[in-house]
Amino acid sequence: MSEAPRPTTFRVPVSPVDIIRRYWLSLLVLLVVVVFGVQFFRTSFYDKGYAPEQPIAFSHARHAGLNGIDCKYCHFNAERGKHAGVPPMSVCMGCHSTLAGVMANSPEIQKLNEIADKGSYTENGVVHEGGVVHWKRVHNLPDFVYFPHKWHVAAGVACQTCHGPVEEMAVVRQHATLSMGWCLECHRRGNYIGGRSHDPEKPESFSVGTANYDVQRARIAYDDVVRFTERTTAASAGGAHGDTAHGETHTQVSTDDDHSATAPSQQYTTKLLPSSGGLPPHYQEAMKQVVAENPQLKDLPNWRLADLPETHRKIYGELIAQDVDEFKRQYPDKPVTAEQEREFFLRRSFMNSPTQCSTCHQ
Amino acid sequence: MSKHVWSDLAELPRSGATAPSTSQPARAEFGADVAAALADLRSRHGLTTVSSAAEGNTADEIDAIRAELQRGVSGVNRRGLLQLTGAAAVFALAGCWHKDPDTLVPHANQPEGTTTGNAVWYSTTLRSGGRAVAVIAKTYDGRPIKLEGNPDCPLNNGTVADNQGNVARGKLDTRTQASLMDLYDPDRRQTGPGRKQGDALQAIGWDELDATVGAALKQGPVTLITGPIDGPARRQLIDDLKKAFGARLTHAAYDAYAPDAAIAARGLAFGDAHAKPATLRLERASVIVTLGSDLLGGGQTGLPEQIGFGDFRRRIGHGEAATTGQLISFEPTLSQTGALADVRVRCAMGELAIVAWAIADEVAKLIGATLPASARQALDANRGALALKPIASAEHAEGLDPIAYTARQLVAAKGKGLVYVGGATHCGANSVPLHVAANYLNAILGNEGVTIETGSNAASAITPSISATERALTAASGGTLIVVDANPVFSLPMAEAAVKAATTVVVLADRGDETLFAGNDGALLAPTPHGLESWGDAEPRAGVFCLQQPCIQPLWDSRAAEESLMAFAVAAGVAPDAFKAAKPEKAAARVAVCSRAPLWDALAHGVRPWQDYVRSVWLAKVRQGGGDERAFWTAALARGCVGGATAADSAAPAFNDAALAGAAPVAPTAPARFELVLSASRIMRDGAQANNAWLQETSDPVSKATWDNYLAVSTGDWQKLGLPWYAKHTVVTLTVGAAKVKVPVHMQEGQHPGTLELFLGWGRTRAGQIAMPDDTRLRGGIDGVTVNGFALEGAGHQRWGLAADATLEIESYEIANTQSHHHMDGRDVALDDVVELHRKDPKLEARGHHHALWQTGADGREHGRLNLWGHTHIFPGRRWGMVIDMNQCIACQACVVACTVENNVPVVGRDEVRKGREMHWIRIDRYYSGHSRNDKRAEERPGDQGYIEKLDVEVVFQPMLCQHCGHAPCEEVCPATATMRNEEGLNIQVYNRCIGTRYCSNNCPYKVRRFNFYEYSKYRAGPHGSGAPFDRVVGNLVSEGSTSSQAELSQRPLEMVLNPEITVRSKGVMEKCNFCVQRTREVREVEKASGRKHRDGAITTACAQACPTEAIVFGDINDESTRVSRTVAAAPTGYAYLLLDKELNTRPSVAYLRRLRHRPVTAEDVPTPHAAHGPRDAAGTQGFDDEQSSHGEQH
Repeated sequence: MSEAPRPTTFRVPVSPVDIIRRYWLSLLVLLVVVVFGVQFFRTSFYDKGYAPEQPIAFSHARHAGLNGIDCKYCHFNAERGKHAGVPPMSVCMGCHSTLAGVMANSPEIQKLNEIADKGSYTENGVVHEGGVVHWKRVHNLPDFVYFPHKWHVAAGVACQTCHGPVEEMAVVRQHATLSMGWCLECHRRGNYIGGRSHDPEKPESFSVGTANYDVQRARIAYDDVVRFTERTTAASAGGAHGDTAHGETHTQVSTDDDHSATAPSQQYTTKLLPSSGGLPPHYQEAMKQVVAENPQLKDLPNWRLADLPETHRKIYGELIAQDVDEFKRQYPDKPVTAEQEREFFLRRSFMNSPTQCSTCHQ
Repeated sequence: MSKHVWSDLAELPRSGATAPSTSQPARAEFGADVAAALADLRSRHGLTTVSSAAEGNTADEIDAIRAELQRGVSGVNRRGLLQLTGAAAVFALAGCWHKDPDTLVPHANQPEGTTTGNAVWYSTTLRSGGRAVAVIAKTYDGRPIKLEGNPDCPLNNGTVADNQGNVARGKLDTRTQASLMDLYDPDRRQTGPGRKQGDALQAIGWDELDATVGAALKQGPVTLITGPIDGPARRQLIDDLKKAFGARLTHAAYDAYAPDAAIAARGLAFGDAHAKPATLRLERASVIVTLGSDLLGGGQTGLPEQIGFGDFRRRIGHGEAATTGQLISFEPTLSQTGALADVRVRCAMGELAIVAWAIADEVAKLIGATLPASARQALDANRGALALKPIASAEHAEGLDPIAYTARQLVAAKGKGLVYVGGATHCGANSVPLHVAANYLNAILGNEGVTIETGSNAASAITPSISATERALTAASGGTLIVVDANPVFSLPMAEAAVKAATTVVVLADRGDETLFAGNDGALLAPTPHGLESWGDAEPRAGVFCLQQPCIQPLWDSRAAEESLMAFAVAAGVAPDAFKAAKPEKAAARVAVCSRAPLWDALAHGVRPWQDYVRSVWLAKVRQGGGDERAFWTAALARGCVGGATAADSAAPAFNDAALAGAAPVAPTAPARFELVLSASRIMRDGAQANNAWLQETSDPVSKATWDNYLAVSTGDWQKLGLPWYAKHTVVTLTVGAAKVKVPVHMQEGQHPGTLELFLGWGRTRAGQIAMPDDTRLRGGIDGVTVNGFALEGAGHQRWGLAADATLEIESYEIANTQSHHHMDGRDVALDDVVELHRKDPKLEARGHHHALWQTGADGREHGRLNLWGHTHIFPGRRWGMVIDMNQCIACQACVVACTVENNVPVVGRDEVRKGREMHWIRIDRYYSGHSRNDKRAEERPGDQGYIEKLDVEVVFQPMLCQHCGHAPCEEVCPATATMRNEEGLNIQVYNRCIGTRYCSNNCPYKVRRFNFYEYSKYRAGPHGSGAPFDRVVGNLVSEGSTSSQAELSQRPLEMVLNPEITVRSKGVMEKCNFCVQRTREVREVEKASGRKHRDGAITTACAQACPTEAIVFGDINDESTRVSRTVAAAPTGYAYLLLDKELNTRPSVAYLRRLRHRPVTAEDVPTPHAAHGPRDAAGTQGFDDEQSSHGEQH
């Protein structure tokens, strides 16, 4: 009968160093998983903060912020259709055309003009055709989401509510998660639910999209979710628009003295373009003449015709004066003929605005 | 009624041992006395069973289920499972990682008035089977994504209003719906003209093509083969070409189903002036008799006939007269028309001419005419050979003679009847006698000029003719052969030699087809654009002018066929001025501002653009008076269709008795072992759209087979073939003359014993990847899809009644048949009835399942109904619903294709269909009733050939889609709440919530849910054996990433067909009909903006929109004023019913109207010749209406 062997005792490693020494590989894997996991859920899943590099370094801060161009001047599709739409190349070229274009010396604008002229460009070895910029999509909703911009714009939701302070972004990025919960943040409040509020106790009371316009308008007053911006756009600056669609959030009308183009303020107010004087008579004549020569212009939206209100004429006058200045700066030797001025006028008034009245007058 | 639960099914013995019987349906719920009375009455009148009993109860179908149940998961152990799970998790994470940057490509100049994301509709015209159909094309960012019928074209609209005063508007047929996929077909020629070099095409330029053809055209005979020609501009072009080439040019219009015999017979009967194809006016008919012809799927008819048939059937609802709406079919095979017939009489192919003349004889007796002597002689000699099954009738023990019965019906509907012999145009020696008999009948009955007429034939039409094509092809020997929009080598056996004999062959087609590759090396291909990419015109009926305009820029390097012809004439130096570019300096200026390639090409070569040619011909010929050109043209383009005043009917031509001399029926020859019938495929027609996956996956209306050709064999012939009757997946060798093909067999009920049916239109070898799988291994060496029936034609293009033999093969081949999928578990869902029975016995009203449809109490609850659900859904505003009239449904499958297009329903391919995984959201179930092979007695008396030959069936077609139940069984079992009810009554499927448990599908009694087993929509075709799960290229190809360049696009153009308004579903997600929620939503937005409620009918689903016969009506069922509600309210009690609502309390939103048949029940139902519209008819009408109103009071 042999004695049973004594059980071997082991010293249990207790010190952190020992733990690390023994399980370093597992810990490393765990750490990597955790770090990647957090990163993954924070950013990648919802793409929040996604800011791809665009083929043209387009700065919303400069256009919407510094110059105070209304969002819907370019994204005019937002109030008409499902998509906000990428502006057609003609909108870019309206200001940045080769001749006397705004910022014509900027390398990015030169790139833009080159794309328009050549009809295609190459990026990373891929040929992009069509003479347009192939932008990288920033906001991408899943296929199963039906999101019409039109109704949100009509309901008075500011662009910035979902897209963030775009007018401060040099490189545009995704501001919100665009997740379903994020959508419900608004829709659960009842502000955009037709006829009745959502009662959390009664799930069936939840509905989306059957809102009645008046109900929405009435509720805007106590909306604490949507931050309605005080928008003073260039076109509404004269104060003659008489539009009370904003309800209680009436805008302080700026004066003509406010010529300084400053950085965008925190309240998302945009600045006025400088304006002075009315539309000169020879511009009005030119406009009438053009309409007489081209009867098809009658089919164009009314705002493009000669019966624009005084405020608009002021603005166009200013824009044309800018064009004249720019022309003089670029071509100091050439005289500015009446034809040349008329050209500027037509470009500003007829060719460069795909918008409708409601673009500015919401 | 025997019902089986799933566990029972698995325990059942092998089929053949004790096949469960079809028996009377469970009528217990109506009370024993009523059930007994019903059973008694039905048996007395020779009606055996009720339709749906056959479904789900048959032994072989139980076999299929058992096999499915036992298939299970093969050999995965625990360790393997863990490995798979881990791998799946890793891949799932990988899939979630940051997406590839997507590209947004803006417009350069956004067209004025367009809004990104809003669809634009264009009106245009397409050709299907050689016939023009006016369509409106929905384009989304420049891509056509959906076609609908143009409601401004009278041929797309019905004329007979239903009892709600509505007529069908803007309808579209199956093949034209599907032609959208042809536009994006990647197998079209993409790289410009080609020259045949062996088995490939060598690319050449347009200049070289024009020069080569022009040189060849300078001398020698020129043969031009086109499809059917109509339309002022197209006709003008042909006339101009004839002028340019003079006598050197031989032109023939070709169609594989050209009605040569019918035209010849009309010439004999009515003189040469009437030797034209007849226009059928089914909407005016009260009695239609078809003789061996498929009126609806037979290749010679199209959308106008389908719409006309809907109008014809619609009169049943009006109770216009007792004889109204009766369809009597004599036929050897079960055709789509026969399936819809009120009285269907089987006869052998050879008997048809004798049947026709026997009817003529009876009719002549009844109206006091004399049958011409020659016909009488031939008839007397052969009448004895007729052995038709009598029509069962309670008052006549021996039944009614079908010929006498038919004659009496025809006489009763004198002037409103129609005898149709369209499809059986190639039945050998009896072709012309058959047609002459039909002409004779129509003439003496006064139908000629009313229901069948030639007065509305378009003046610009050139009728297709097979014999003219043969003559033209023969004339091409040693000369130039130009083939446009036709493929004679595929469908005309003699064409191959003729093409080889021609010195120069030019094929104008969208791909290198059989005709091109039959030519010698050097044959030329001039690629043509799709109809949606090009200009053109049409005149489908006299006075109806349709304009075709492009809705998309040509995707590939192509040129309109007409422009090519003009360019060839210019290159040959024979072109008239009309072909040359007018005012070159002006043209050059246009080129400078308009960089569109087609225009550029034409002008650069001094050829007038085809667009310009069409415009000038229209301004000269179609524009009435001297109005503003621009205004006329703009209006014509916008409307798509000019005119519409139907031409006055021609006076009824006199029948020329001399015609009868050569038209006596020939006695049936001593029957061969089998008689082969080659009929037009009901879906594929002539195979022109063979590369269309949507069509390939659409079930045949009668057999429910997809993707394959098959040989239909009568149930009585199984013993002849030496098979047990339940045998499946059988293959036979079919011998016709010297030809032998191996072909899979489908057992077809209702087919005359000794008759075999094979479908034409299959067997394309050069159509593309979808038409022709390139791996014969996958077909197991069976010809299957590759059987080209045209090659089996007899002398003189005999297609009907060919002597044939069939011998059994050892191989087996599974036809991808959808009939056994989606069992209704033998539940009684498809109800039919006999109108006369209903009239006879008012008590039978109790057969009605449900008296109050869609009604709830004031508190929103149903009273007195057992309810498993805790609460009843309340629909405070609208509740969408549907009524489906099974009388109107002709099973044309237009709804199936329309749904597929509208909802991005993927195509799954043949192999997946075999597994029951087809994804169609709507299907048309086909039920047999009456005696059938499933009758137990057939098996008990295996040797009783006489009994088997008496077997016959009645057919009910039932469109089946999600019923949007008020108490949906699917909703209750979904663990993820992925399927739920919305407040407009839709049972909606939330794809991103779905986790793929498939519980909902198991619990759905209607079997309408579909599961994505694979990423069907993203499936990319690879070479076979490269890991692709399916046996062929499938439809909607969606790529990863984005499409931003033409080069990328060429790889996968099919994704452009997707409707952006609806999700493309991914793997593991359940999907189903959503009542086209995107369409309802679109109109709702307009409502929201305008503040006005939509007009009833403004919102409709894709299926209801397409349905040519208006069998489907969609609308708000909460509103009593809508058409859908009124249709149900107006139906006689018990005739509208909700599927399984009484049994399961599902409260569906879809109501069905019973299939009604006119059957002679008593002697009264057979009209007496002297009182054609006598008191009996009036009483019948009265009774029908009275019952309606009295029931209304009772309930």
